[in-house]
Amino acid sequence: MLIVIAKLCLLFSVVVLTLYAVRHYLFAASRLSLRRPKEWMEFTGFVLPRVSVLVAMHNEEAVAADILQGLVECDYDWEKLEVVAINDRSTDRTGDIIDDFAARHPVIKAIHREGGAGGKGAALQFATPRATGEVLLLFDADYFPGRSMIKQLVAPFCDPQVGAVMGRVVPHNTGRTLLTELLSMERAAGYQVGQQARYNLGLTPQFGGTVGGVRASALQSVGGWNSESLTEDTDLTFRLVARGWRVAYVNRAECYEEVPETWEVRKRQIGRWATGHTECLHKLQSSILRSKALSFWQKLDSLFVLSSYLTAPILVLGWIASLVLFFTQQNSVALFLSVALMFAGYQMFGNQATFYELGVAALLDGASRRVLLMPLSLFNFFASTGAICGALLRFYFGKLRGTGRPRWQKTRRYRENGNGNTFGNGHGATPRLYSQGANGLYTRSSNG
Amino acid sequence: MRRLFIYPHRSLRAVPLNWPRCALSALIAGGLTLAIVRLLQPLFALHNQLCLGLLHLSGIPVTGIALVQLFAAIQPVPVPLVAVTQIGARPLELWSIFAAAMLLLLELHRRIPFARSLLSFLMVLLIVALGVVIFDSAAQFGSAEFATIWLRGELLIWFVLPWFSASMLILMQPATVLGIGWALISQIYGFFWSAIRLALCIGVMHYTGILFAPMFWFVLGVMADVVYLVVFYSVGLQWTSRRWDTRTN
Repeated sequence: MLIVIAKLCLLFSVVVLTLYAVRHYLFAASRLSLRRPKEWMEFTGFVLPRVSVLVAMHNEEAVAADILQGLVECDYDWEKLEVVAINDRSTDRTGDIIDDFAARHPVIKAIHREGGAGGKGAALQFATPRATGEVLLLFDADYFPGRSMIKQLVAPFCDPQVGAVMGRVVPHNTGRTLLTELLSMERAAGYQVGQQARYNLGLTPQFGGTVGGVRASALQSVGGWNSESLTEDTDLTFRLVARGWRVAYVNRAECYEEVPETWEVRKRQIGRWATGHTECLHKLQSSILRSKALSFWQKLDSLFVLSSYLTAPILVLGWIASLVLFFTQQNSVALFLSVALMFAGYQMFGNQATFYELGVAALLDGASRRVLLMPLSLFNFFASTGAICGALLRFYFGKLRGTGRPRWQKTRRYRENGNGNTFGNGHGATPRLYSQGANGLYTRSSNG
Repeated sequence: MRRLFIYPHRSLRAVPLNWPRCALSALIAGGLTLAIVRLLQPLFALHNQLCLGLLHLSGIPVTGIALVQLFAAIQPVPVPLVAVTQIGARPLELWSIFAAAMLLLLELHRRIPFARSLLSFLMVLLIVALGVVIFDSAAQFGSAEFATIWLRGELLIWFVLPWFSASMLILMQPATVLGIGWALISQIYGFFWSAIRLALCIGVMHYTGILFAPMFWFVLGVMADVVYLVVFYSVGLQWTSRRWDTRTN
């Protein structure tokens, strides 16, 4: 009986993981041979819409000045722009920094949220009614938007079917630790290959809640932000596409972010993503399947995206089954499959990306030295598998016991903060990009 | 004056995959697979010779050669026979080895933060193996059984590898000959590397029974195959990337 169950588990794991692996190989091949990606900036004569840039900040004194200064230096028409800086229940100097910027730059609107539920979704839900733009762009506080970023992100909204847009996230602290190097490759695979291929194949690129935007009317049509979700961006993406809106991806719109520099922070981050995605899967699967706006392949791909973190426990299930079969010396087919399982499993080298995708992304990015670190992604793979399994166990346990939903946790920042404090990562801290001079103005630091 | 070559922004880059190139890659992969099928028996014989040589070199007594059936469609293949310690019958030895291995893994776990998850998994495998040795002595198996499990996995790798090489190494190299070279090297390396790892596993089983068998099967088995494939892929890509950078049209 045990052997039959083990064989069935193994077969299930092999089938699921092979399907995922094939999907990722197709994405990589599609992106690799893509001669001409869709380029929205070629559209001319498009009347630029009024844009509200929402930046939710909870205890972000270390990074708040950088993002606000970056936004006021953008080349978008100031008559059609407002930057909504949300001080979300901060207990540090974030509110003061925002007020200081708002006093100097009329384009910045300061909003202070004193209480209420935690999480980015709740902060956005609070700020959205106060924003006046036709398009709402979102940035996390640790991002460095370039001068033309807003124009690049707004361009796809010339298509009235586009409900949301996503740009490319690029880590700026890449060379800090081994982990940041590995995460940099992982991000490149996710955006340069995964998102671009999905977009060009007519599937759904994911709106990531930062370096992206949503049409205000589209947001309203699906009922606004879901403050209950741990991944409000994923939740919004699939509510939008289920209602017939399209999500555009702009690979050229690159924005720099901080990636976790320590494994503990990384594990917490990926655990949150896993819980959020799985939460969305349970909530949205029926509306995706019933949607008349989505084709068969779009529905299938959407379910693949939302179930992607379930591959980690499925892989572990397969390992346990193959271990049982190893000791009971079950021959031929079973162990043959166990090998196939491992082969498929180890291809999840990045965060749900095969090592083929990591390589393709590194090649296209010209990251010729970093690509040599790719074999070390194996450690990242094991760390992620463990963290995802742990997070999903807690999630399902919580659901069974009815102990409520998991808490949102802020990802740690590594940039040197305003008080000169640094986090003990053993490598010093990333310098701030802008610093406040004696005259009160923010100027670009020489070391930034 | 217009520049002869403007390197496109990374968001616009692509590696053109034309049909002749894809067909050539498939042809090479098919040719390699066919060669493996035709040379399967000599390959297994050579693999066995390599294992035997390594076992002799390390002073592990080989009691003979067994012919094992991997799959019904393939003739029996030779594998070395080595006496495997019945570690369950020697509790003191069993617990000493187990404790030493656990201490080593715990120390590595403490010192290498990025390897903690992998090491935790290995500790679990070690504990499971200990449980099997203590509570299920029927699960004991010899070197021939282990080699059978091993070779089944390796056979799959040998057949799959040409196709991985075709898509990863041949298609992406600016010069096809270089891609073919990479594919051949990775195939040959995979063959020799398999024999070395199998000899190591059998050698360890000779001294410690099946205590480390699942751990070694896990780490030195298909995982090691994937790792070397990724190493080849990453080095190949680095070469490719450098060569693409220097091309002007």
